[in-house]
Amino acid sequence: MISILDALAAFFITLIFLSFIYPLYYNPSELSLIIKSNHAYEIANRILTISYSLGYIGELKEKLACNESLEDILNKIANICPKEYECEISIKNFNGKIISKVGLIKKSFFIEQEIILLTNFEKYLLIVKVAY
Amino acid sequence: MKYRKSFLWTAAIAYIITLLILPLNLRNNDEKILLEAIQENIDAIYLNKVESNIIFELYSFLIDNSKLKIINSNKLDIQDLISFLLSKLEYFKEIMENYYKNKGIELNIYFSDLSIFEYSQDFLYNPTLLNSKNLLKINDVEGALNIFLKVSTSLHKGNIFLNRNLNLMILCPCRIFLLNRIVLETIKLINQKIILLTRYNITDPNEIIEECEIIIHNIKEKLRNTYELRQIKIDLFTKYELKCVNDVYEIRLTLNINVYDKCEAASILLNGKRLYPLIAEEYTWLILLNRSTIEIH
Repeated sequence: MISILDALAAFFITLIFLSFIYPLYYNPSELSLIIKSNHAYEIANRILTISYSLGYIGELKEKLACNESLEDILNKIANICPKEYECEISIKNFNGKIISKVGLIKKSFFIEQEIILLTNFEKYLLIVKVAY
Repeated sequence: MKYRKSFLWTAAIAYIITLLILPLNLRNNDEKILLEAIQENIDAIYLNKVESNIIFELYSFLIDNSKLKIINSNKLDIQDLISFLLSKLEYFKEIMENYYKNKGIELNIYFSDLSIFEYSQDFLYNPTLLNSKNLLKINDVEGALNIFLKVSTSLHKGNIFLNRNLNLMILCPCRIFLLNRIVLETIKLINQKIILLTRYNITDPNEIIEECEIIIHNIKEKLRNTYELRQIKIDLFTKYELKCVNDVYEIRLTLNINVYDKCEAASILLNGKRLYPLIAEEYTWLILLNRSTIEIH
């Protein structure tokens, strides 16, 4: 006959055993996020490369040199973003001050890629945030 | 007896759980491998971005700084330009390496064999680096600058390494060699015409000045007709000094020649102002008139 004590002992030992094993398991949402982020990084990279080859980065630098409004050119860059994604394009100086920003990310999960832009006398960061 | 039973039951349950968990564990291992692979892929994407950033920025950085140096010096001095670009490349390397090292990347950039020479149609350019907007702006590249540079980049993040050696051939759309040739040819042409004055029987020094003005005006018109459509502007300024020493007239003709490349692709924007490359030269002729004899120095 198994007493209640036997059953309780077995139950608690099993719980202790499971508590050691459980943290080793990946959370499915974590796996899903990392797969999404991989894709979002690719999208951000593509936006930056296309911007370079279409001359948008050169235009952006010219506007920075002339202290002109950057919204139009940042919108052109943001338009490269596929419609299925949310994108935010911003330009910062090296002190972290945002000079201009277009687009808005409403989702809580997003990734960001940045590149350094060098003009004749200044350096800036162009930041692309992508949410899936 | 009671404790022995408890022990046996516990062991039996633990064994069953282990058997149940085993396939899950195998799946868990697959997920772990998958996650590592995805993380490596993200690192690789990041390194590719860093590499593109370095190469694309280096391309425009060299062009902009070459233009800046030419605009500031107003002359063609290739050795001076190379020294300037080498110091700028050090600055470029420092900014890129420091920024990305703070982002957890081991980055090393090496530059070598920087050389500058005149554009030739035989050189091949990387079409991905010549953006379409610039290609539209460049319709005449005779006498433009070619910048050659060997770049080695070494990037490392996590398990991903990216080492590359590139030979960059960069076309700087600044027709400095053509501007220099125009300056030299103009001075040569004016010199030839002024020397012809020695064949005439002129006794009045003012007549010599008038003749020189006509020569320079005609040459200016001829140059304007030749180069205006090619967006090259030529300014000629003259100054005459007339002295008489022991019946000998000394006419000092000083010519300032400024030749600009007015093509937008050759210009730079500085403090909101568009500046164009130019070559500026000053040349002086000393014309001695002794009665009807003319000597040119």
